[in-house]
Amino acid sequence: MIIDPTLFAILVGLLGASIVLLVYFIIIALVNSSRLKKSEMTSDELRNEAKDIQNKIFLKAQEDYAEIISAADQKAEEIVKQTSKITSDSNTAFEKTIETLLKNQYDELNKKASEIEKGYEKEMQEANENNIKVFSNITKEVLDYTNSQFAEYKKTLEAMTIDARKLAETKANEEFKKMEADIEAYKKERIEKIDNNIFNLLLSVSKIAIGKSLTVNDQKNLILEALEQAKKEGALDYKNNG
Amino acid sequence: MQNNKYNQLFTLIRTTRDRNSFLNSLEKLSAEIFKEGKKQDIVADVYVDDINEFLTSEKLDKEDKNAVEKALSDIREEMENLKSINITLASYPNEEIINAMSSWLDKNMDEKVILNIDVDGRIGAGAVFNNGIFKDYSLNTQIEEAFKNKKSEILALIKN
Repeated sequence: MIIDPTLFAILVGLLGASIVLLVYFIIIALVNSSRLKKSEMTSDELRNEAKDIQNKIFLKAQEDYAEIISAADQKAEEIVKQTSKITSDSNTAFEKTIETLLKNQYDELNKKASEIEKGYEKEMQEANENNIKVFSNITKEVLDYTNSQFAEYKKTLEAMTIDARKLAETKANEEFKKMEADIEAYKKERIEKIDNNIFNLLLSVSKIAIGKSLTVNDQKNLILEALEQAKKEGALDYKNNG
Repeated sequence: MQNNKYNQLFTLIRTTRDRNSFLNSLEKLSAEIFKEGKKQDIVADVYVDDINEFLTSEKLDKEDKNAVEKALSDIREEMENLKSINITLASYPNEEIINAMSSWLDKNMDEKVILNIDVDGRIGAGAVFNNGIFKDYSLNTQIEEAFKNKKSEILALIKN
């Protein structure tokens, strides 16, 4: 702890004054005690004597007090001087110490920073080298994987193409067969229709031709034959006709 | 056909068309024969002579109004009660064919039957009967059946 030199001198002065006052009161006590012993003396004599003594003591005390104060002042001054010197020295030493410490710390820090920087650079370099290696490995792996996947994909694609071609061929064959069947059915239907048309045409022509070729006698015979047939088959049930 | 006193008249009636003409003549005769309270000489009509002949053959007193009217009424009733058969032909037949059909009916049926003739050109020839039972004996139906039965053979012939 650093003590202010001025404060220190004041404290020393006050201590000296206290000691002087203490001595004074002790003397007063002693005077009162001798006063009791010389009670038998006359009061004037005593009174004078006491005054003298009192004056002497007072003077003595004043001198002592002045001396003490002076000594104290000197001491205080010395102390102050010493203290100032100490303080000054201390400040200087402290500043030097601080400076030294700071310098040391700075140097240490620089050193550490340099070490860290070097370490960091090294680590960075290593990391970069590792990264490059890893990246190279990854690139290679990716390339290998891509190549293998591509080969697989190519294979799959080829298989799919073959399947698709087969499927398309099958579908085309099926469609072709279906189309052929449809065409055949259509052809058959058309031929049947044409046959029917020809047949119906022939039938109509035949009816007309036969009808026109009939004589009255033929017609009469056909009607009579119809009557014969109708009678046989019970189709002449006139009773129902009223 | 059984014997009947009206057979003489029945021979004139072959079809429903004949009967309608006959009934018209009978109507005319009935209306005019005793016009103005005494027997009239009726202008010759299709069946009037035939009816007069019938009345004569029945030995009726032609001056007896009541007897004549009753005879005419009886004839009408007989004619209206004649049975008929429904027959469809390709065209309305000529007299020869009508007579042939009527003769066949007189010969083959138990009683007098007349023809109710309908015409449908689609049948070609022959006849179709519809008397409770429908029977088609038309020429065109027979040709169609023959063609149907021989269709494949006919088509084969056409294609070859």
